[in-house]
Amino acid sequence: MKHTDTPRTQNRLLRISNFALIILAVGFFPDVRVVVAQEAPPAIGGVWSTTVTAIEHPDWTIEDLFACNCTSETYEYLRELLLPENDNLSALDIQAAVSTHNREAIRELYTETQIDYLAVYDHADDPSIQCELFGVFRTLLHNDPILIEQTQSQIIIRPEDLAADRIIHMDGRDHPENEPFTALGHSIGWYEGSTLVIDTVNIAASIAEDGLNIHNADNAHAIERYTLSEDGTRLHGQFTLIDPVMFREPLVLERTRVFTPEVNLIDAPCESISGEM
Amino acid sequence: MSSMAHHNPAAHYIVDERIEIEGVVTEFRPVNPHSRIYLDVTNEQGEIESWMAEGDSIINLRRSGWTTDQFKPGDRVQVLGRPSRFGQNLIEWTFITNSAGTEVGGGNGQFGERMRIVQTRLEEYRQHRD
Repeated sequence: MKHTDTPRTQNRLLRISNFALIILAVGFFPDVRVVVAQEAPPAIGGVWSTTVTAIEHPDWTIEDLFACNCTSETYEYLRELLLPENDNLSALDIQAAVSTHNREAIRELYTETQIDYLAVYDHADDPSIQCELFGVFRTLLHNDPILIEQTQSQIIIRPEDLAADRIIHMDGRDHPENEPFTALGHSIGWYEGSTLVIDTVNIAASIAEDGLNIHNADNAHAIERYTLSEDGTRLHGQFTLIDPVMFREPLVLERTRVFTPEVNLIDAPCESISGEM
Repeated sequence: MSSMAHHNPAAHYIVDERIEIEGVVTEFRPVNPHSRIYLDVTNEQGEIESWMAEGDSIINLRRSGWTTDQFKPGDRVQVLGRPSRFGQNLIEWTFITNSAGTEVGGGNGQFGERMRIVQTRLEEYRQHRD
């Protein structure tokens, strides 16, 4: 992998070019005062939950209550369903329609390889049934609450259950070269205003999300963007899976979490299930 | 529909079918990824069969008020859920009713409770939308 191809480097180049423009501007207009303020990173530490954990939380919008790990097209469809002409629909009708629409939107992106893979895949072969931890994409899409620990040099995202702890390097390093593929890959991150961006490479083949029936191949690439709301109560996540083996174009899903300091992460034992008594 | 399960129920169950059993609890195992209730069920021939009911993770169940001794040996329960895809004495519970006739919410059974909350919010939204 060439370092110049990484989003981190692209972001760095963008900052450098912006800086160069400022220098040029000052050169042409010496009376202009340029104040470059060091932006504080968004305060995203703490426990964040989905509707699965905190359905009665007051900060959910009506869209959030029907949200899934949905494509942007699915969210547009959801907004249509919430218009007055669809007031005959119950909450159950809307949720079912959204779920169906989202599956179809995702299915349209399948490559032949993904289609062939799913034709023979048996859900009983899911390794997490035997208590194996989730891979990175399944972890970041999982419903359970997450605890984000934020320091200057790294971010640790601690989920519950079979989702795996993640370390995101925030110290400016790039991805290593020629590293083996692993379930969690290698993650680096940076801030763009109120957004935390996480770039993960070297991801091993895995179940990306069993409910949505999506799988990723070796060498998949994930980009996460977490944007904090102005009042600090909502964290909007946008998750991009780049995997040309399994998807014809990048798969982009979105979901919002709310800040829930009252929620404690629960640790519990895992016992494998064989499908037998 | 089980929106909270950790694994696709199609792994072990027929997702579009429902069966109901009634039996006496022999053991409750509050674990991840799915909690289990073992129970003795008397069949139509009067013989006792051992069954296993499987539901949500103990993490989700605890959040919805369950305790690790939610069911004790000797408790009589009715279980509605999905049957085994392999014809075994297994059921993925959707609803559990205890001996007092009370539906025990939580786990996969939360779906109904959740949809009632969302329906209420939807009606409020529609009233205040315009």
